[in-house]
Order: sequence, then structure tokens, then C-alpha cells
Amino acid sequence: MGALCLGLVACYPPQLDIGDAKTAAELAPSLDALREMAPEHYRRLEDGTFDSLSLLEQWDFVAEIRELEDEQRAAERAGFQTERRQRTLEFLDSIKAMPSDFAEESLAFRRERLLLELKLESDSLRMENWTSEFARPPSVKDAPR
Amino acid sequence: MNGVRKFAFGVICLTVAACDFGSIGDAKTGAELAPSLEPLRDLAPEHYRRLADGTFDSLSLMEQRTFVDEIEELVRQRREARRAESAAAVRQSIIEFQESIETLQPDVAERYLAAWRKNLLISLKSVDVSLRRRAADRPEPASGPGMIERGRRTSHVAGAVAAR
Repeated sequence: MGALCLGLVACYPPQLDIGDAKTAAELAPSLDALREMAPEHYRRLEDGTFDSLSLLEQWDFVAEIRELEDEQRAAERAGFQTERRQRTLEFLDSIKAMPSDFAEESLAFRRERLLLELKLESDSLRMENWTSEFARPPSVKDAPR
Repeated sequence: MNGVRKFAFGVICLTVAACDFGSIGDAKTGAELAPSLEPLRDLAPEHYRRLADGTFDSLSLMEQRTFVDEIEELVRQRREARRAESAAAVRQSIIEFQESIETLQPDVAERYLAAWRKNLLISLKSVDVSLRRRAADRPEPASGPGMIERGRRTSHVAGAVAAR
């Protein structure tokens, strides 16, 4: 529980602090990871192209970057899942040579970890009900005209 | 505003602690755990039924692994669908704002525009932070016996969160 809370603290928005940056060109030097993933998009951030776009174009630009991130994430996930299944197979193979009580205990431990994974998936769904992916400024409907 | 966010975050932390997130308590089987997996019941009723009636517990470890992978995939799909919905709603808001900008008082329009643009900068920053976090969570490549062991000890769950 403590670890989870610490994890949440680590995730807390101060890491999203953009400091005094008022433009993407000013923000760009702090976006190293983004530069690595999407060098062409980064270039357009750094050279001020992004700042000269309309709001809707900027939104679409950010959406493109998010798509690239999703693709990268999907590739990582596929690799991770394959590796995880492989490790499970290796484990099942290795317990054949173990004393039965030890094998039993190891198997129980693995099963418990799967239960924990299920619980974490369930908890992550619950958390999502509390948060919104995209915060947005207030509606302009009631703004003075 | 920052104070309000901190307070809200504190409330969430306390609620999280109260709800005992990330813990399976004394549950030793899928059937025992099922009552605390309510969100999964809504998302995947058939999987939930197999958890609650003990079918999951009678599966082999590899079959259980597949079952959990399927749940993970369904959760991911739900998350993506929600994000797409949210993104579409925000995009629509931007279009409405752009259409009404000329009818707003100039200083008000300026303020709204600045708020939107700042939001987009924060979005860029959030992608960067997410990329950094995933890079930091990635297991180091195995280059010797010790490293292999380290890689293997990396928690499946931590990896699953990282891969998300």
C-alpha cells in the first residue's frame, strides 16, 4: 500500500510543470524523450512552427504525437507479453526438477501474482473513473461578449 | 489552483488507502478475490463469471496467464476508447471556441486562447514525462548471469504497468 501511495506521489502532476515556458519553442529543451521518439515533430516544436499553428492544428499535432507514443507503447507491450509468456513456460519447465513441496509453493506464488495482476487491472479501471485524460479550459459559452 | 489540486490529490490518496487498492487481502483464489473486482464484472462479465464460479482456479498456470492477458487487453481497449472519446470532445470544444472567438471580448478571447495553448504545452510535457517514466521502468538488458537474474526478478506487475 505504501509503495502504491509513493508511486502515486511520484506520478503527481508537478512533473508536468512547464515552468515559465509560454511557447513550445521555449518548452522544447525540456522534452528530450519526445525528441528521441519523434524527431521531426520535435524540430517543428523547437523552431517555432508549432507556435505559429492555429489552435486546432496544434491540437492535431499533439494528437499525432500521442498516436506515435501509443504505437511505441503497443510495440513494447507486445514484446513484454511475449517475454512474460516465455518466462511462464520456462518456470513450468523448471519446476519439474524441483522437490514437490517447493514446486507447489512456487506455483502457488505464481498464481497469487496473477491474482494481484487481476486486482491491479480492476483498480486501474476504478481509478480511471476518477480522472479525465484531457483537462480543458472552461467552456466559452458563458464568457462575456 | 495548485493548492486545490494538492488537496484533491490528498483526498484521492486517502481514498486509495481506504479502499486498499493494489492488495488482494487474504484471497487465495480467483473465486475469493472476485467480489473485490467489481469494475471487471462490468467490463468483462463472462470472464468475471469464470472467476467467481471457480473456473479460473481450476485452470493450469498457462491458461490462467492467458486469461489475465485477455483481461489486460480488454482493459486496454476500454482505456483507449475512453481516451478517444475524451479527445474527440476536446477537439469539438476547440472548434466551438474558434468559431465563437470573434464574438468574444478581445481580452477574454486572449485569455481563453492562452489557456488552451498552455493546456497543449502541458499535454506535450505529459507525453515526455510518460516516455521518460517508461524508459526508466524498462528492465536493463541482460548481459551476464547477475543481470539475467535481475531482469527476471523485475515484477510482472510493474512491467505490466510500465508497458501500458
